[in-house]
Amino acid sequence: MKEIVVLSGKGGVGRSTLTVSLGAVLAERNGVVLADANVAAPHLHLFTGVVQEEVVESLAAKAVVDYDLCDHCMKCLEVCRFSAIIGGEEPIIFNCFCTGCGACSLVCPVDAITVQSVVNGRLNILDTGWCRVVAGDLDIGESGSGRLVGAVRKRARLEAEKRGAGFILIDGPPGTGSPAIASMKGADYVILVTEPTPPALHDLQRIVDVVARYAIPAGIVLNRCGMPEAGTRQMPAGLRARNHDLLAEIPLDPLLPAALAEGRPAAEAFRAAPASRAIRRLARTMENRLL
Amino acid sequence: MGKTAVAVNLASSLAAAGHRTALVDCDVEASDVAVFLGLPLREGVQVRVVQPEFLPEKCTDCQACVQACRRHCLLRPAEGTILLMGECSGCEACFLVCPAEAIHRGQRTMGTLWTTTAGRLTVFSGALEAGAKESALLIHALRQRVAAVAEQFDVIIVDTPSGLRHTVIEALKGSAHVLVVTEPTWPGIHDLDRLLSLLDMFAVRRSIFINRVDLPGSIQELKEVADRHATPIETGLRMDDQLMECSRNCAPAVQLFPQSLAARTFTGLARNLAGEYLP
Repeated sequence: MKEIVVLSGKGGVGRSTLTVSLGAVLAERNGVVLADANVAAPHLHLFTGVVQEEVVESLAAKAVVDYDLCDHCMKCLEVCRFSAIIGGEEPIIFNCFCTGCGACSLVCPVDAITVQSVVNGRLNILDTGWCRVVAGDLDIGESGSGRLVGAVRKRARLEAEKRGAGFILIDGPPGTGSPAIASMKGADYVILVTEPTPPALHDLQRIVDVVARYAIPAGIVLNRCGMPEAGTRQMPAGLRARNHDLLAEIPLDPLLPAALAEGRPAAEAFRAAPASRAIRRLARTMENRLL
Repeated sequence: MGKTAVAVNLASSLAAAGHRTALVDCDVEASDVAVFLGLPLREGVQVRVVQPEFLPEKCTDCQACVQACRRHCLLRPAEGTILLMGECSGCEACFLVCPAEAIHRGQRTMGTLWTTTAGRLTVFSGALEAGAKESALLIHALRQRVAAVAEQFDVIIVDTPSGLRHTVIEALKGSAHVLVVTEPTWPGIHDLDRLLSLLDMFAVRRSIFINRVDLPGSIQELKEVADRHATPIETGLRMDDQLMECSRNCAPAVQLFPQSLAARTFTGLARNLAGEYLP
């Protein structure tokens, strides 16, 4: 079983659209489990025909104040390094920022603060008819996304083992921080999606630098080509890509958003579209590399 | 959704209209505002987070720090002093429990902050260090840096991170108005509903910018979500090859194609917001 994670640095370059289509093509020959690790903005459940099979609550440690004991000394406010305590008459824990480190409980002279497990998200286990989806869903505005991504991957591995799936395809989050790192650590391969514009390539460089720290093999997919740079089969100028291969160039294709509007993977909905054919070739490339 | 393109063009329009404008790139994991504007980043200031360093000559081997660390980052080996093994979040709980002052306040870089000025527009940006996880803390430091010189500006435009994590709240804390950029696709509408739910909690004034209104999806559904959250639609834009051309040429539409519909939309948006909030 091989874990492929799709990352991009920049958001909005077509990462999820590509992931779903790639998953659909890979599923024709191999068992596939899709994992939605973009837990702060999950989208894989929006596709047509998705059935919810199971929901598992996800817990995080948070500080809880017992106001019957609190004597309003506000020592907790001074020691919190995450601005998670709002002062005033009495301390109010702003759960979104609380990391559950317990520093506040250590300094509380009357033991009014304890660290407790609180629900801050869930795993949605879904079925598309052609594959299982394990989708993380962080409560709005919450922290601790890295931990939830870890839970998503663990469950996805379990589902893949149960089904003898050949691939786990992980739709990673944008950015380079905690959830991006949690989605790539220990994976077999990273597909880096970008588009040929300077901002996208700038953000790609940042995620390339993070991938290099974890020494994971990676390749680059240039999305929305059909611009002056297209068809060159060359790594974009200026990208220190650490010898990553250019895996595919996917042309700018209005059929991709059209498929999205129908809630279907583009590679299935419009099989003959140039973008679908490029995604199909990408799937064959991944099979050849990893199986 | 085109959040950064909107922020960059809005800020450029406000600056062109004579307002002293700060543009703050809080998307520290993918900070590309300066790239969008073709501005260089020079003389970055590093932002650090405290990380414990254990002093063997003072350590009494009480192991209170090992018990206090809820991330289980501290290990007491069979021989020698405490080791930091895992990913320290900088919570400083270990310092609070050490009875012997045996922990030195070491430091680790979590990111870099820059300030770049071009005419009446000043860009404040920050970039998370490769491998670092303290996005929210870095955004906090960036916002504080701007707050210290806020008096020098008529208006501050903040480009927030994507995704509804705590980092968004850190970026938009204290704002007078939130401009929500969305598009009429199903993912766009889904995210809009969630973001407006978050803004409902903060009772902050907001309006919607519909980007790429001609993308296949449902404007009707988008409007229903907006109504449900009592949020007016400010303006919108069709899909625009010229905007793509702008990001390729590292210049805002209001400079590169001042006569384009996109440029006129942003100029109008800037005029409306300035009329509402600026003297």
